[in-house]
Amino acid sequence: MSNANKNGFVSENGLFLVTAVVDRSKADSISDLMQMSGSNFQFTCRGRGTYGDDSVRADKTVLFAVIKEEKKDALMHQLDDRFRKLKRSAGAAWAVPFTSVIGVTVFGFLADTDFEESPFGNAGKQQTKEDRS
Amino acid sequence: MSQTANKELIICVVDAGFSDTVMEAARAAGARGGTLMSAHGTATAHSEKRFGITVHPEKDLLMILVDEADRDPILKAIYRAAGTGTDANGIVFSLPVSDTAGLSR
Repeated sequence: MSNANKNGFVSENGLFLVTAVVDRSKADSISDLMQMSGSNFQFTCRGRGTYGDDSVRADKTVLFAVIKEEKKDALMHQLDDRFRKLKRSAGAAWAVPFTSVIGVTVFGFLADTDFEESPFGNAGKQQTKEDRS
Repeated sequence: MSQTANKELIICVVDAGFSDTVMEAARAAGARGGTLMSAHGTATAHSEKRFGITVHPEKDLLMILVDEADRDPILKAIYRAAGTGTDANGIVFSLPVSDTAGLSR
């Protein structure tokens, strides 16, 4: 994803929305995995599987996480490994690319990137959490 | 490595209580399963009047992951069974998926 403004500033921080559907009992561990992988923003929803009738449909948690493109592959690898290690009712996950974000602060938060200067009008140095530590 | 076979995410929003209608149509067209969430729909009064649609707020939202090759038949099947103009009053669309994890081979 590139956001070219009138001054030609282009962000290389592509963002992806990673969605994971897991049994409710596994939700916390998957959420922790997403956070440790570098996702700065997540939200969860309650869901249900569609297999069988109402009496047997499994309670699910649907987790949505925003993550930078450069960290997305590592997260998907880890999710794949984790799901294969779960004995029963593993889970599934997928990634969908963002096409646009409105707001520098919002974008910085979602991309976990501090802009020392405004990216619009100046070639601002991007600072990450690692730089600040 | 996570699977990168061409997948699409079908999202279907229907009036509450019609998720079974959607899933029956989707399965008949080749879908394996989906995830159901409850949702609350909104629409402007202007849009409702203009398109002659009444938006009932309580919704069922279904996410169905499918192979790209199966997308169109499944979309059509869902639309015929549960689209606008039916009792389910649903909308259905698809998004491209770049990566997947945890799907059985």
